[in-house]
Formats: sequence, structure tokens, C-alpha cells
Amino acid sequence: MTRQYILIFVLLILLMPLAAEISYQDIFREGATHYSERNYEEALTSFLSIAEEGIENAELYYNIGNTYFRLHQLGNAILYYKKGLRIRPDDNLLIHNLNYALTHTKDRQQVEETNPLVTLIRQVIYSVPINSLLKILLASFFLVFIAINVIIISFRERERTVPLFILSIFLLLLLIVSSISYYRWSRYTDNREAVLLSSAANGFSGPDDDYTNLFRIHEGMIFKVVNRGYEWSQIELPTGISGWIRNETFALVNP
Amino acid sequence: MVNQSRYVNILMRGYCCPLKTAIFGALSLLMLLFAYPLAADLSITSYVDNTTIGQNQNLRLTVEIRGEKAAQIPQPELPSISGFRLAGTSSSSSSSFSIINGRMTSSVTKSFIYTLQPENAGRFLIPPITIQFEGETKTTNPIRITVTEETSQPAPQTSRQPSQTESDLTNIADNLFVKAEINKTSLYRGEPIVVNYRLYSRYDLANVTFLSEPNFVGFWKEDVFTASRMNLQRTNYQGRMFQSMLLRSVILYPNQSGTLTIPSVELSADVIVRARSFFDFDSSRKFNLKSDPVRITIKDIPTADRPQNYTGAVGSFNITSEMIQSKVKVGDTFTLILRITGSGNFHQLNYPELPELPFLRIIDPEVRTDSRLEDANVLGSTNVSYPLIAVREGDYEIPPIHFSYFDPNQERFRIARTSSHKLSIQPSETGIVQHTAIAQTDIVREGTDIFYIHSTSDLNSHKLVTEHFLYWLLFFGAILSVPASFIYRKERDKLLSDSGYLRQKGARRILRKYLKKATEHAQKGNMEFYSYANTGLSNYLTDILKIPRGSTNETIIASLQTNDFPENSVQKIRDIINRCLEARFMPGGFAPEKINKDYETVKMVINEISRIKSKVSNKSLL
Repeated sequence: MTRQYILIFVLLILLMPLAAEISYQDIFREGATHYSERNYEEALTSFLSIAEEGIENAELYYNIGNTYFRLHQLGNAILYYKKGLRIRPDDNLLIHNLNYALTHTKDRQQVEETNPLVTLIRQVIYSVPINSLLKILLASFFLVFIAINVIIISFRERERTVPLFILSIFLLLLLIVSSISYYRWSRYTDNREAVLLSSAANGFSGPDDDYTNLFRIHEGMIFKVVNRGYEWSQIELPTGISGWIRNETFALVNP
Repeated sequence: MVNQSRYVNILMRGYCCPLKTAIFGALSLLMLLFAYPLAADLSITSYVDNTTIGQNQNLRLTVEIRGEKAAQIPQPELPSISGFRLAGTSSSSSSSFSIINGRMTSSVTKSFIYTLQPENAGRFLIPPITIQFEGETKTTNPIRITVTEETSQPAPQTSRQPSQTESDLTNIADNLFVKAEINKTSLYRGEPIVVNYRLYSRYDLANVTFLSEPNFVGFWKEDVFTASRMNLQRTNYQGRMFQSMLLRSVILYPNQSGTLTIPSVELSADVIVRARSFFDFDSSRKFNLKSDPVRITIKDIPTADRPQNYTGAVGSFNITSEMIQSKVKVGDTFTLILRITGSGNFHQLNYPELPELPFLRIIDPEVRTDSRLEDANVLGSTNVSYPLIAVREGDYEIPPIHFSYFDPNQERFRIARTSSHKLSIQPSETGIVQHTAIAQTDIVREGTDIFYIHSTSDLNSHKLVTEHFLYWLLFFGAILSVPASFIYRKERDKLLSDSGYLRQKGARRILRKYLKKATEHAQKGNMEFYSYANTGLSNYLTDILKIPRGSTNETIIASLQTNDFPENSVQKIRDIINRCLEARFMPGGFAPEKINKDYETVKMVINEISRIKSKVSNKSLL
């Protein structure tokens, strides 16, 4: 009898995530319906309830960003577009909507890349999802090691010139793939990027209001958190200006 | 024009000051000496200062002659005017001189002023005044005068004294007004009507501003002219001289039938009030003016006899068509132009469509409509350019195109038609029908917004593959494969380079082969057993001892001893080998029972050898 109960319990645990996912789908569709009926408040509640369950999904973040944009919460909209882009940096919808939202911020911050070469390189780097890239990295690693093993087993020392040349090509490939992967991985795991959510915030030269006011930024500004404190954090703006702002005024893209 | 109007202004002020007039006259005469005579046109007008006067007032009748040679005109004979007595005459002359577009024009104005005294009250008519000059006869219009019995206020005397004082500003409505002028009061629906709003004034005006935009209900309106600056001209209106100015001109196309009202315009005018004393300043007074609304009757286009292809054109039209090419090849593009000219509602008519023709492909035409105003007539033209593509070869005719319209003057429908065109389409040279590109326009982005949300999603939570331990295991496996293959390589190299090692490895296999056969013979009690057992054993032993095959038994035994095999085992091996040799050299000397016994012994010996071998090999053989 005990064994039977254990079996049922195990089965239930296995089926739980499936059931949970189905209900997420329902909530998601419900949110989309609310959005189409312009009930943005309800749509936001639905979408956020899924996100709060720890689902990190680019499409979900995109929808949340759009809903916030419709509710005129520019900071949150930009934050969620950035969250989506962290997972899928090549998503055209996300890029378009983020760029459009950025034109609504009070502070000018859209940096248009004019050099076509840089644009091309960015496209190449971001064209592959990070997981596929990591798999490609593994595959190229395998390629190199298969080549090494084949060389060890099948070739005498004097016959190894050509295989070693092929191996060096594979090594070069591995080097390129691994450096791109490292760059993407570091961008993905970067937990310093943040978006200002309050309508405006002052940057001070130290972690208190008494210090000199250095700058004033407005909702939707994207910056880097350099130094996280308990109440105040030191941030760095894209222009290079650095200062301390209150923690409750902003949110991290990758908390 | 600026020059002219300024001149007029100066001239008029000149009247009030005889000295100025004299100086001016002298100057003008001087100028006239250099003036190039352009035309000998003469114009004559007559006007009075007021059409309604009191019995005790004098009427001032002015006969004005304008032209190159006005100065030479003698004083015209005044016909006898019933009800009036001539009280006095005077005359003045002025000349203006202007250069417009590099052309000099000069004109002399001579005014004869008659002061008339009414004899009794009533309605009188000042008859036309005729002058004769160089064989030409010019006549003025008659003027109606009403003489009332009571004494009315003296009217401002614009002709002589254009400035006014406060006391002159009494009979405003009579001397300052706006009129909507139209040339017909009854028209057909769609028929254009020109409305001119004109300001009439006998005062000096400083500024005129529109107060409100008239609301044209029931009309489609086309703005033609709106005055942007003061441009006053002397005009004779109902026998009196005014300064007038065209304020606004619109073309109206009635789009409903019945009685419609042409709305009034409202404007404010600043009238300059002259200083009363030398120490005073000129001032201005503002008056709001409104034109009277005008009612017009709009008739519906009759339904009787209406042609089938009638599309709403009202007016008088003519239609022509033009085709530049008459010989084309299949696939060629060419143009047929329809041109509608005439007067009427060009902006509301629909151009006639080209009928479907099997030998042509008709592309949407380009339509250009122009209209202009000429003498209160709306003239215009509509050009319809049909791009055509020849589809089928052969000789064809493009039929005449009919255009029906309603003629409001003749009050009937009429049809205009084009002539037909002959068209010869020849086969294409390439045989391929090429569609020439039609004028294309680029799509223009009209707005930006965020894109719409995703309606569905797999909602898979994003996780890096690096979070999975298998990923790292595969990396680790790849790294580990290197020492593994290195070991494999070493092992194989040893096999390839050391034949003794190989033989050692293969010895047991060879022994097994021989023993299998030996066993078969032993079970049958066959003497062949010894032969196989001997060969198997000696081969096996030579392999594991790494001595050449075919070595004598003595060599084998000696080698066994040198390789530290235990003495009793060596003894057993020697015994069994000897027995085998004996059996071989003495056939039939062994009974089957003995064979079985010897088989058991061989098995025992081999077991012992392999046991010892594993011990010994660890020490030295490997």
C-alpha cells in the first residue's frame, strides 16, 4: 500500500509543472484579450502574475512592456523591453518598441549606430540565441578534440602536417565562438544595467541628499549601477557621468 | 498699382488746396512733356454728391473726363435739366503720371463742376451728357435725383473734400457700406456663380479688417480673391462717386436646389476724422459694416431628356481628344489625352471614361483641372491623360467619346464628342510583351507606434544550457578523451613494434585451437591426439617464452628453466612431451584408456602453465 501511495505522489509531482504551465497559458491568453479590449490594467495584472512565478520569457516581457507603455509608465515599459532583449537580443519587435519608447523619454539617450561595419558585427553577434551559441561552442570544442584524438590515434608524427593545419582552423573557430560566447554570456549575466522608474531623480556626489547635486535624470533613463548600497547606489550614465541615486527610484534589468 | 493709388490719393487731397493744385498741375504738365502718348482713350462719367437732397440744398454735378487729351476738351454743353437751375460752374484739371513695368502712362482728368439749385421737390432725372471730340461721341449715364421737401443734413462732399470732420459722420449707411455683388439671381444646381464683396465709401479709410468668415451653406465654395491691403479706386455707383475696393471674390457652386442665401460679410472700417483745428490731431472712428444677405434661386437640373452618361456637368463645354502616335507595337505604351474646355463647374464634373477595348489595356488616367475667372465667368480645362498599352496587333479604331452636359443658357442637355482615332498595332519585335512601368509612388510612413503584443506564447522560461550539468560533463568528457586515445595509441604501437608480445597475446588462442582438435581425437580414442597435443603445447610454450617456433623440446625445457618455472612443473611438462613423442614414434603402443588418462594430464599441465605464466609474466616476460 505504501508503495502505491509513493507512486501516485511521484506521478503527481511529475505532472504538476505541466498543469501549472497550462494555467499560465490561460492567464496569458486572458491578458492578451484584456489588452485587445484596451483594459490595460487587467492585462498588466495577468501578465505580471505569470512573470512573478519566475517565468523568464521574452514574449511575456514584450507584452508587459507594451502594456506598461499603454499605461504611460514609460520606465517600466523600457525596463521590460530590456528584460526581453536580454533573453532575445535579436528580436525585431522588442528592438522597435524599445527604440520607439526611448523617443518618449525626456532625456535623449538613443545612440544611433552609424558605422555599417559595427552594425553588421552586432547583427552577427546577436543573430544566434545564447543557448544555441553555447551549443555551438560545445560542438566546436568537440570538433577540436575529435581532431586531436584522430591525430593521436591515426597519424604518425611525420604525416601530421595536414591534420595539424585542419586542427588549427578548428582551434581558430573555437577561439571565435568562445569569445563571442563569452561576450554574450557576460552581457546576459550582467546585473548592473538598470532603468529609472520614478518620474525624475537627482544624482548626488555621495549617498545622501546633502551632497552636491550632480545631475537630474528622468523616467526611462538606462544606466549602469556601479556600486550597490543599502539605500543609495552609485550609478554611471551612458555619458560617463557618475553619481548616487536612491535605490527605490530604479529597477535592475537582471536582478 | 501702388503708385497709381497713391497718386489718386494725392490728387484728391490736392483738390482742397489751390496752391498745391497749382504746383501739382505745373509738375504734371512738365511731366507730360516727356510722356509718351500711348492711347487716345477718353472716358467720361458724371456723378452727383448726393442723390437725395433737401429743397434748400444745392446739388453738385461733376462731369469728369479722363484721358490723354482731356485737357483739350471744351466745357460740355449742359442739357436743360428739369427741376433745376444752374447756379454756377467751375472746372479743375489734374494729371497723373506713373511708370508701370517700365511703361510710362499719363492721364489727365478734367472735371467740370456744375452747381444746381432745385426748384421744387420731386423726382428728377439728370439726362445723359454728351461730348464730341475728334469725331467720337461719348455719353454719360443718366442720374436719378430725389428732392425732398424737408431740409436734410448736408452730405459729405467726397468729390471736393474727401476729408471729413465729426459732424460729417452722420448718414453713415448711405456713404459707407459693403455689397455682395452677383451677376444673376437664378441659376441651376452646380452652375457656378461669382460673388464679389465690395466696399463702397465716401470717407477716407485707414484700415479695414474682416470680422468673421461667412458660412456658405448649400454651396461648394472656391476662393478666388481676398484683399490683403487697401486698394481703393474711384467708382461711380448709382450716379455718385465712391471709393470702392474689392474685398473678396468667391465662386459658389450650389449643391442643393431651392432658395439659398449668399451670406453677408462683416468687417470693421476705421474712418479718418480730420482735425477740427490747427492744433488738433487727426483721429479715426471704427465702424462695423455688414453686407446684406442676397437670396438666389437654385433650380434642379431637369430629369427629362437627361442623357444616360450625364455626370453632373453644368455650363458650356467642348471636348477634344488627342493621340500622338497612330502606329504602335504590341506592348508599347502611349497616351490618349481628353481635353474638356469651356466654362462651368470644372471641379465637380466627372470626366468621361474610355470604353473597354479588347486591343488595349487602359491604365488609370492622370487628371489635371485648372479653372480661372474671366469677366464673372468660370473658365477652365480638364486634361485627362490615359496611358494605354497595346495588347493585340491589328488595325483598330478608337471610337469617339461622348460628354454630356447641361447648358443653363439654353436650358437643355447637350452632348459634345471627340473625333475617332485610327490605331495600327504592329507585332512586337521581341515577341515579349513588356509592360512599361507606370508612375509609381513610394509608400510613406504616416505614423509610428509600438507593435502589437504577442497573443500566444510557449511561455518557456529561459534557462542557460550551462545550468545543466550534462553540458559541463560533455566538456569534461572531451578533455578526458585525449589521455584515453593517447593510451590507446601507445598500446597499439607496442603491438605493432613487438612481435613476441603479439605472440604471447595470441598463444592461448593457438593452444585452444590445437587442444580442441586433440580433445576430439581423445574422445574417439584416436592416436592423433598425441600429435595435436604435442604441436599445441610446443607452439604455446614457444610463444609465451618468445623463442622461435619449431625449437626442439630440449630448447623449450631449457628455456622454461631459465624463466624460473618451478621444477616440478617443468618435470610434468617434460613428461607429457616425452609421452607424446613416444606415442608418435610407437604407434599402437597405447591403449584408448591411456589416451584418456594422458588427456587429463595435458589439461592439468596447461592449467598449471597458465597459472604459473601469469605469475612469472608479471615478473619478467612483460
